Amino acid sequence: MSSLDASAAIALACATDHANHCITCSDEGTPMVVLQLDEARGLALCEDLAGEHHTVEVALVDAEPGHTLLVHAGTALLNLNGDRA
Amino acid sequence: MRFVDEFRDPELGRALAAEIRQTVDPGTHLKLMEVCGGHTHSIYRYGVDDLLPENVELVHGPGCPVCVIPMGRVDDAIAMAHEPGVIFTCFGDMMRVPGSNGTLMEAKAAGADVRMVYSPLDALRIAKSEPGREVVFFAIGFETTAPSTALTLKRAKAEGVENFSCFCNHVTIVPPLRALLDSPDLRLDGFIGPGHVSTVVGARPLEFIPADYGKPVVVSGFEPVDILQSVLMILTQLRDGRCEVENQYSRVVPYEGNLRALEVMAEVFALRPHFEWRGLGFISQSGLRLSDAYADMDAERRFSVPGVRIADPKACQCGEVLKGVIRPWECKVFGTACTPERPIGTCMVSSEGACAAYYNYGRFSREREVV
Repeated sequence: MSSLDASAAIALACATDHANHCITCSDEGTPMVVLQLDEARGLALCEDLAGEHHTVEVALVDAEPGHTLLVHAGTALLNLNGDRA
Repeated sequence: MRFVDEFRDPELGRALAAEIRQTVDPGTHLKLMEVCGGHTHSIYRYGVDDLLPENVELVHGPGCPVCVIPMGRVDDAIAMAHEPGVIFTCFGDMMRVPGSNGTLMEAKAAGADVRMVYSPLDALRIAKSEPGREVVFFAIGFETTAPSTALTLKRAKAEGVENFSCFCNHVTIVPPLRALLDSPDLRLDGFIGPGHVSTVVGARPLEFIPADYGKPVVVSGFEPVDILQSVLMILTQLRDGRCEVENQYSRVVPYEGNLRALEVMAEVFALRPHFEWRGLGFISQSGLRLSDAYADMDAERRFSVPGVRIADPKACQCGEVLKGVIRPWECKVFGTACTPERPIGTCMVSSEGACAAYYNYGRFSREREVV
């Protein structure tokens, strides 16, 4: 197997989510879907790709239930359903 | 999975690799720096560098916030954690970063109440549930993480949570990049720009790189196809004699950033005159402190800390790795005395650190030595 094929095989074998990434890394962002909004407190209940639920700050984005947000360290930085989705 | 599967397509990756080979001048040796640890992690995880021609070298930059924390700040954190009645909260990786006399994990074993959190909001929640204790959050990270800390501090202030404070170690990405570009021992031909930092600050702050230093920058996503496409975009700029900031990650990064995030950061933080970076030394206006309006929540004012500058261990070459002067396995202690289980240097602690990323994905093996 050439190194090119080997790399492609690794790429195929590693088709997982971001769970291995470091939460501390400033460039880690995780897509999460909004399940419920608590507008009074500026929080949302969100579900990540693994099905786990999280409380997320949504003060920096306009979010609606069903939207996918890019979340870092408990804060949504971007609504992926916006113009650039 | 939308946003992910199409960017891990091996056929697309192979096609991009072929295009890269056609684009690069075989008579040159090019060094491209991936600024952030997330890219480093992906490059090793997916073997992206194996798809590149030998004369295109990826150099790992200073964008892992764990890796750039100097030992003296870890010592300060441990001193706070040992204060009576304090609950010290931090992200998981910070618990294993060695100070001059152990780690936060070891401080916890010695009796300090150190707790891992996934967000500053978790730390605030602890403060509200333990009103009789002082809760300190160890805030680290670049502009991606800083808004999260800022929002939590605003929330704590609004809710009148007086037993919550922040040990602020947030840093900004532009000053270290400028320091690297000014460094005489490093020659770089282009930059793979940080993806999610740019979600907050936008791509505009990177414009000084082409304008002042004549190097191309491509803001990149994190999947293997993203990185390969970004490399191709940089090589195309070099081939065409262009030099500008391009946005490969336009599906996520707005060129102007997130204005609400920038506003909240401006309210809660102020620039420090200088801040120490591991391996890079003191860099002017590269660190954030709490603004005067939030000074009463500044843990450095609330607690007495040593505040001593500690030199890195002599065996550790994290500084050279962070500047891209050497590659991880060229460090004298890589994979022998320094492993993810027993790290000497910060680059081996975080999974985004160049050394840990290289080590964890089995890209190198060496007999371990007992020292």
